[in-house]
Amino acid sequence: MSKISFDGAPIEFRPGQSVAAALVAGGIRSWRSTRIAGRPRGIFCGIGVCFDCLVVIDGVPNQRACRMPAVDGMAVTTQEGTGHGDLTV
Amino acid sequence: MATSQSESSTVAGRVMDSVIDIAVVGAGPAGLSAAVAAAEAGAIVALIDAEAAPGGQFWRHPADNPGDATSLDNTVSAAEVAPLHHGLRQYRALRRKLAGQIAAGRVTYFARHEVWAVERVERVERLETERVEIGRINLASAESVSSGARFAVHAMTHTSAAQHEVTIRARSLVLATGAYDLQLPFPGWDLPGVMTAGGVQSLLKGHAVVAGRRVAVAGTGPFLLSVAAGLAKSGATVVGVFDAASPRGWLRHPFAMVSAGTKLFEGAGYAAELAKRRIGYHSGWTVIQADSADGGADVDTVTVAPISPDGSPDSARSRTIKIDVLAVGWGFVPQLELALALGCRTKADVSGVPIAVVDGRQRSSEPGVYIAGEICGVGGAALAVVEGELAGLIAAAEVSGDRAAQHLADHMMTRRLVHLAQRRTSLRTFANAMAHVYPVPYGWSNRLPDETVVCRCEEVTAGEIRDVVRRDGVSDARSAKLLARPGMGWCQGRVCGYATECLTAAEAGVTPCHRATERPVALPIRMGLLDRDESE
Repeated sequence: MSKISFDGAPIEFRPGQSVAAALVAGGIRSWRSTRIAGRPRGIFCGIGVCFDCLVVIDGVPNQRACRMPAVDGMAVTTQEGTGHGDLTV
Repeated sequence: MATSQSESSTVAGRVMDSVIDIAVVGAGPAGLSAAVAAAEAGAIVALIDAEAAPGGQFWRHPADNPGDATSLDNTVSAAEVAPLHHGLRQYRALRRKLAGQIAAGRVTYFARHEVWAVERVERVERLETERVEIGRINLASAESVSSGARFAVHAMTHTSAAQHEVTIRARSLVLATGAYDLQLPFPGWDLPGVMTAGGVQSLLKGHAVVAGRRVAVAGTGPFLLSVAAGLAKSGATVVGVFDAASPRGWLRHPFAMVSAGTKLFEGAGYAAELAKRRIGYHSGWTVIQADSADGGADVDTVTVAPISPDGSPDSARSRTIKIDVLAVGWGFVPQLELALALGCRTKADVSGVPIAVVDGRQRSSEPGVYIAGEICGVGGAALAVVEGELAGLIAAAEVSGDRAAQHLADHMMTRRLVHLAQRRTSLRTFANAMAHVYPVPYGWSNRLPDETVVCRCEEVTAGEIRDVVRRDGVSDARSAKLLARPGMGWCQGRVCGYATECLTAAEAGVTPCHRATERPVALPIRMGLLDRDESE
């Protein structure tokens, strides 16, 4: 069974599914907090238009989960705000 | 589904060496049909599409060959999602033809490539002077068309680590970029679990994932029935379909009903599916708000209410229903970025949303740019296929003088064009009537509470937008955007643009004017992509 990880926990997926589809199928509903109010967000438009489903994939922030095919071993983590917290001074 | 190996392989590289005849952007019903028609007429075609497999949103399919093949048995397959589709016979026929044209070297198919910009690389004379009449078809004469590249199409594909760009140089363009769900904000619409109806459908058709266990479907239009039927077939409990409009509106459009034919039949099929599963269809009901229980992180309930004769929801008769997913859609917004970047003229459709202007042969106002499908007026897949074929045939004929003469001399070809034009007219009549029957609820923006988030990207509320109208005297969405930032974020106002215009106009006491928004770069890209050296 192919697996990605979400915040360290394994999530099984079927080849052909996007990261967002894998997360939803795995019962995960929110994987981002907004920059200003820190509100939870997950998948909304599902077709690459709204950019609400942004997530960190293999260390790279601001990736649309609905557009990225899930790949075995991919490490997906919750995106906080801009996803560039590591650059904060 | 059997497809050739070559069809699912993609090309990666910087700039395609050869100049091709026609670049088709979008492989939905319109683009797929255009690419096949143009290639069959002898043109060399590039078909560029954001998805993993041809079909667009309507015929959304999983990839034929997902890269990760560790457990192929488990791969999401086209056969698995087939029961959710309509018009599959036509889709399969187009796919077979596409595979044949790819094998013959006339079509290069770029899957998972998003076009972020198109540009005209060579000015040509306006094609006004010489026109030739063949049968009833009016074609620009071959002499006035340049033989070199007139357009550069910049597309990118990505993995999690890198973006790769390809530039395709073409003599003509067919734009078939489709549409996405029109959204109206309401309290709680930003909670995880509230999704667009199209998004719920895409998870189901493209990924074989049922978005939730208990789902409410709301908004307006027959698309809601399709989403509800698909969810129910796939094992979800659909707690109800809440359509703000009334199907009685069709009685005011008898001619459109007669011309609709199979489309009404399709709608009746969904209705029967809902009735069989005892799913309530509540016309004249609207969503009021979505809530999360105990301040939780995602949606737990939706509150719906019947609409009073004055257009406002009757909250005294409202119902609150437990759900885990709410699917909402209020119609569709055409994706016009590329057409606007090329200077193509637009106009307002019957619901006020901007659409591209085309002539009877799918020609835009700009020479060499043909437009088909939802971006020249939302009308569904059957219409998109007809418009795509017209655009492909005309583009192929106009791009090469010799071939044009050869094909148009053919009586069958002329008859085919006349048939397509007639079919287009009848389907367009139906589409226009549909827009009248399923409008957004009257005065919806006046009832939106101040604290409701309107711009999801920049987190701007209805109250903040109203404030700039009152304080700074603005009366249009563009000014409101500059002062309060709705539409300034990642999605560039694609989601909140319509709502912002309605809110601003209502607060200013003017009629909303939904202007087409120009976006020179059609989607966010990394700076490095713009910085690259052309000579590399």
